Amino acid sequence: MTQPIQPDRVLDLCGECCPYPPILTMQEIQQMKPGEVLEVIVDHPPSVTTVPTVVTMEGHEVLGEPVRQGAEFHIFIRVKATGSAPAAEAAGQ
Amino acid sequence: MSLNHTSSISGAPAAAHPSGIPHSPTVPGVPGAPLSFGERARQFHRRVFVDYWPYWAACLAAAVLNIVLLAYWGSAWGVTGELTRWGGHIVTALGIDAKSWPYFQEIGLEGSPLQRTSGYLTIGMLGGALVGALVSGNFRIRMPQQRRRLVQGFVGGLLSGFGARLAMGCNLGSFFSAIPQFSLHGWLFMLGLFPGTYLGVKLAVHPWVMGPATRRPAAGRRRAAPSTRWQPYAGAAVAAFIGLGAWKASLVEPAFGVLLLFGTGFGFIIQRGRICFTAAFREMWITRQGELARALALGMAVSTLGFAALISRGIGGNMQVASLGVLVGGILFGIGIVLAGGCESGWMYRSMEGYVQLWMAGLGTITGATLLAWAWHGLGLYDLLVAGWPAINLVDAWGWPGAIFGTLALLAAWYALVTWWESLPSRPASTPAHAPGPARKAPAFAGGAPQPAPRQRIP
Repeated sequence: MTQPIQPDRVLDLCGECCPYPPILTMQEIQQMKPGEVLEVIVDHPPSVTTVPTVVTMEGHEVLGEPVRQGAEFHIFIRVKATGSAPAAEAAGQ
Repeated sequence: MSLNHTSSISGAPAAAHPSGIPHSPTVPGVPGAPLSFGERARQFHRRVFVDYWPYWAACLAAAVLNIVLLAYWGSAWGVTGELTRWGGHIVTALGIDAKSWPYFQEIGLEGSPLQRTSGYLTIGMLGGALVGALVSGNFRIRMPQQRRRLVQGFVGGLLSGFGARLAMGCNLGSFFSAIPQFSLHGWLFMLGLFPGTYLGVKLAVHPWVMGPATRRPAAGRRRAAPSTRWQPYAGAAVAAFIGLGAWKASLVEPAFGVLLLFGTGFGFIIQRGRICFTAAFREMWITRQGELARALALGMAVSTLGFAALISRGIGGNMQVASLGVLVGGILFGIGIVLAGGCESGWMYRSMEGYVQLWMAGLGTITGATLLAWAWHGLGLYDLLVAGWPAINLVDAWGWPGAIFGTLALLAAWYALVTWWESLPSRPASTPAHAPGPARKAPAFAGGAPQPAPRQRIP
């Protein structure tokens, strides 16, 4: 991390464990505008893999590598330009 | 300065993931240049003690250790029998005569955990997981922000403890160790895990259970996370203490010390490898990731071969009744582990990482297992679900070649199933990372409550 990323929102998921961090992260992203940056703080080690995996699956961008501070990890996510997948589409499957 | 060391803790699965997230450890110096001994040592230390192991490596390590354990001890890896006995001790201390319960007459309730090998194995697992958590700097008292998680952990533990004992074993005794021992009940238990974890996910993501997430102001002063630099030293101290304990125990009975070390090895492996049987099934219904399930299938295939060699020489071959109770137990266990946030091995290592929710899951597990021990005859569960069903040994049923190749084929089928499931077209990860093409269908997050993916079915 050469320079700190300024997030638009910060989601603190410390203390949460599987399966919640990726789900709550996606919930938050769906409330955000395209291009905004979300910082997710997790202290559940598997989330360092699952959160980036799920958000990239959904087309959002993970900025850099998760930053470790002690037992906490900070993951920075940029919401994709086209917006998140609308709920209606998934419901209409 | 100690607060800001950047590092990755993910293991190779993440590095191999096409997301392009740079997870591999940074090797100092020019790429390709020969490393000095010191650099190699640091790299080794990092791979073993800091970064998480790749799932396949951890599952293979657990499988090999399980083979050695069966050879030495005559029984394979399992924990809930011992946890049920702990519950029996607690109930006895409360003045109830648990020893007279038929369930305890069957599994035994003599002495204390320090007077039987299974006690040392279980204590060793907790100790080994603590060592793993500390040496990797991952110990932290993790109090959930929502108090409901504590209740959830307890209830989930209760269900999983109850279900596990109804099935005569958890994800270890009735699955990881049972299938390679050719006991049909392992497959029945696994069959129960699919609908069980599916129902568990449905419950766990219900807004009443999940609750809201905590937002923090984006600007302003952050609290700094406490340093974890002291932890490796504490981990070394715990390891030394366990070593001392193993030596002392071996003076009483050599097997006690050896089993303590086996347990420590298992605990260390599951913590370092993040072996989470819950995730292997649960993720089918959430992210569809099959990495862990594949690793488990691989480990169990190796165990199958090793166990076959031992069983053919008369060692091991523990058979349990393949009853309706095993299937029901598997379903209850599946629901419980998803709610609790970990299976039997999962809560053991996560509780040692400091998860308060998983402490509650542990308490719930012991409570649930003890409740089952009572309900076995107290509620007539034995007569209802277990009596009259046979223990089926696949070796007797199919012969050696049939049992070995049949088990391997079924494991391969599981491997193929999760791989196929992962690759279904509606899974958005099939788009290249960083190429956010047309809006894909979100599999699980619409409206916050994950919905089952289309064409979902329970195999």
